[in-house]
Order: sequence, then structure tokens, then C-alpha cells
Amino acid sequence: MLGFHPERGGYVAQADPTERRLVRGLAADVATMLGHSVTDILKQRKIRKEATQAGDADPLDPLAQYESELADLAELSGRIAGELSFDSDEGVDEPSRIPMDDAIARLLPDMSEDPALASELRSMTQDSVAAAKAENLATFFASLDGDSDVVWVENEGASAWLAASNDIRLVLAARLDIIDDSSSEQVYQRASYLTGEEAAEVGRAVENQDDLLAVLFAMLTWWQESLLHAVGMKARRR
Amino acid sequence: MHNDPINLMSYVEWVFQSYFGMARDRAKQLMLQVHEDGRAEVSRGQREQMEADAQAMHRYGLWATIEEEK
Repeated sequence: MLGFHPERGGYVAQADPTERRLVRGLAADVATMLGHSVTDILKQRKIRKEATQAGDADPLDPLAQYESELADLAELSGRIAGELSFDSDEGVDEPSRIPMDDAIARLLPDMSEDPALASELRSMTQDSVAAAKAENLATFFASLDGDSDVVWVENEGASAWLAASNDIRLVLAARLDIIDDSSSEQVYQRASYLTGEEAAEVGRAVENQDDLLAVLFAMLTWWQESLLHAVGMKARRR
Repeated sequence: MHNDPINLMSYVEWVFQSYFGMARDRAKQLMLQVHEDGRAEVSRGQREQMEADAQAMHRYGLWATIEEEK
């Protein structure tokens, strides 16, 4: 793995096939925890892009406009029908989904220390925050989904990439019980014990899932830091 | 804004710069305040704006809460 450096139009780094597979797998897992699928999001993006290229949704074409309105109408009537039906799976009185575990709680924390206000804000904002995070994770996933060891992040995608890598780190940190500076330091030490030069010489290897998560956490931290550095360099050049 | 042991200092600084449009020095100063004091006020205003700001911070994975001024 090589850190990011600025290039015209974006940022370039390198990662081998195993690194790419593990790291994008984490992105897909975090999106799943948030109730989304990165492959679905990327499929949707592709369809939209192709439609734009093929001119299907040409705003100057009156028929296309009409068709898109029909689609909106269909969606609206579907929503109304959904609201009128009472056999929905989700209970009517059920409050907006409560974070299920520590990792979800870090991804979608309370927005107030007052429990009543926190619950009100959660029901208003949780879905859109989760959806935005899933979009970021899809952008991150896509950057690692090619056949090449070269990882390319365009200027416009850097923000999503940084936020997604941060969300993945939050989830790993929850799994690794990082709660303060000293537990954080322990994880970094474990990772360097397993991956440092000496580890290679004496044949030290990752033995269990926690070892692997610690290595991935340290790797992502280093990678995120390298992109932050590259973004900062570009900003100062302007 | 609440401190946490996971987010990189450089990341928090970058979020302050890109979302609030703060200058680099100001972003760094505020980041250090969050880090050292455990929490700091990063934005103040009408309720609606505060909700938008807190939501934005959560999108970035930073933990922000809103509170009413006493």
C-alpha cells in the first residue's frame, strides 16, 4: 500500500488486490449496518449516468419531462397507498430505529444530551444521515473496485472518501474497544507488532480476527492521513 | 463538539475548514480546544441552523450535540 499524493484532477495511491478486497469489504459491511447496499447504490449511479449520456432524460425533450412526471406520480401514489395500509411490517407506533450496538451508536450518535430532544432529532435526521454515509461508502468502495493496483480518487470524491474511511475506522474502533488514548495506542502497537519489519523477519502473523481488525484499523488510519495531507497540499497551492 | 479518541486531529481540522469555511489556524485552534477540554462550542445560532450543522458533523462522523442557550 502506498499513500495518496496529489495529481491533476484528483489523488493517486496504490493498494494490492488483497488490501483492496479487505478494505472495500469493510466499506460494504458498514453500509449494510446502515441499512444500505453499496452495489445497489453503484448500480443506480451507473444507470443514471448512462441515461444522461444516452440523452434519455434530456430536459429539453417535452416527452421525457412528461415521463419523469409520470414516474413521480407513480411514486407518490405508491407512498400514499403505503401510508394508508396498516399491514406494514414496521409497527406504527415504533420510534425511529434505535442504534443496535456500539458501532451503530458511533455512526449515528445522539444529536442532543437531552434524551427527549435526541429522540426527536433522531427520527427527523437518522435516515438521511445514514443514506449520506452509504453514498460516501459507495464512492469509497468504487475507488477500490478496479483491476489495477492504482487507486484513483477524483477531487470531487475526496470528501466522500475521507468521510467513508472515517466511518469505517469508527466501526473498527468500536469492535476493538477503543475508548480512550491508551486503548487506541494499544491497537496501533499491536498492528505494528504484527506488520513491522521485525514481524516479517521472525515470521509473526495475524492469528485471529482482532489481529486483522487492528492491522486494518492502523492501515486505514495511515491511508486517511495520507489523503488529508495530499488534500492540504493541494489547497495551499491554490 | 465532543472529543473522541478515534478521529484524527488532521481530519477534524479538515472538516472545520471545509464545512464551516474556517481558516486553517482557527480550525486548528478549535480542534485543539475540543481535544484538550473534551468539548467545545463550534457553532451558535438559530435552532434550525444548529440542527443542520449537527447533522453535517454526523455525516462526517464527528459527534456534535446541540443545546439551548441558558
